[in-house]
Amino acid sequence: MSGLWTALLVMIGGALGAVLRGLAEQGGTLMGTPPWCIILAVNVLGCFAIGFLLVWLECRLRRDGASQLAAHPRRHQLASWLGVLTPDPTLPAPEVARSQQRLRFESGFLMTGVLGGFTTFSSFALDVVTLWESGHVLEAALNIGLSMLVGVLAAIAGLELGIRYFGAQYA
Amino acid sequence: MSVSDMGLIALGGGCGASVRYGIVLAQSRLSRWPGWTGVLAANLLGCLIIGVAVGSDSHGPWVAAMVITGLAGALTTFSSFALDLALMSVTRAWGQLIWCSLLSLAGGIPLVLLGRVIGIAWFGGAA
Repeated sequence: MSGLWTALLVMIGGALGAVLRGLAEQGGTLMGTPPWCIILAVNVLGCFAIGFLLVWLECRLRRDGASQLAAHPRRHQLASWLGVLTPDPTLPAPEVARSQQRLRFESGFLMTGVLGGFTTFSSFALDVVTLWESGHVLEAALNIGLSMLVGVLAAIAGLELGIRYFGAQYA
Repeated sequence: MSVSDMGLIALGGGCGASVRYGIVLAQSRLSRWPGWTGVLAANLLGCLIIGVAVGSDSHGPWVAAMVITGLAGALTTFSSFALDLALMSVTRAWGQLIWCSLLSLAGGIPLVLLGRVIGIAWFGGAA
C-alpha cells in the first residue's frame, strides 16, 4: 500500500519537475538562449540539488544504516552517522520503520519525482543529434563534455556541501 | 506557455516519472545487476520515445508538450545518473563509471536516431 503512495508522490513530483523544465525552456527561449544551453543549465542545477538533497534526507531520516553515503570518503564527517552508516540499536523497531517510510516518501517526491522530472537525458541526447545534424559538431561535442563533466562535478559539489552543512546537524 | 500545454506536460511528466520509478524498483528487486542499470534502462527507453515523437511531429504541437517535454523528459533523468556517477567517482569505482557513462551515451544517442526512423515509418503522416 505504501508503495502506491510513493508512486503517487513520484507522479506528482515528476509532473511538477517537468512543468518547471518546460517553463525554464520557455523563459530561456525568450531570452534568446540556445535550447541545448537551457537543458544543460537545467541538468547541472538538478545535479547539484540532488547531491545536496541526498545528504539532507539521509542524515535526517535514514535509520536502518544502509545509506549510499557509507562508501563516501568523507562519511566520518557525518555527526549523525548512527542510523545513517550503521543501524541505530537504541531506537525501537517501529520508529526505525516509520522513519524509513518517511525517507521513501520524501526521496520519492523530491529526488525521483521533482528532480528526476526536472532533469532529462532524452532532450540532452536529442539536442546532441540536432546540433550534429545541423553542422554544429563542436557544440554537439561541447554539450556532451559539459553535461557529463559539469553535471557530475555539480553532484559531487552538492554532496560535499551537504556533508559540510547537514553532516554537523541532526547529531 | 498555455495552461493546456502545462497540463499536457504535467500529464506526460507524471506518467514518465512513475514509469521510471517502476523500472528502477523492478530492476532492484528482480535482477542482481548494479543499481544504476535501472536508471540506464529508463534513459534508453526515453531516448527511443523522444526519437519516435520527433519522427511523428507532424501530428501536432501536443506531441511536443506531452511526449517530448513531458513523457520522455521525465522518464529519463540526468540528476540520478550524475549522482550515481558522482558516488562512483568519489569511491573510485572507475570501471562502473566508464560502463555507466559509455552505455548511456553510446546507447542513448543512437536510440534517438532509431526512434526517429520508427516514428517516421509508423506515425509520420505528412512527413
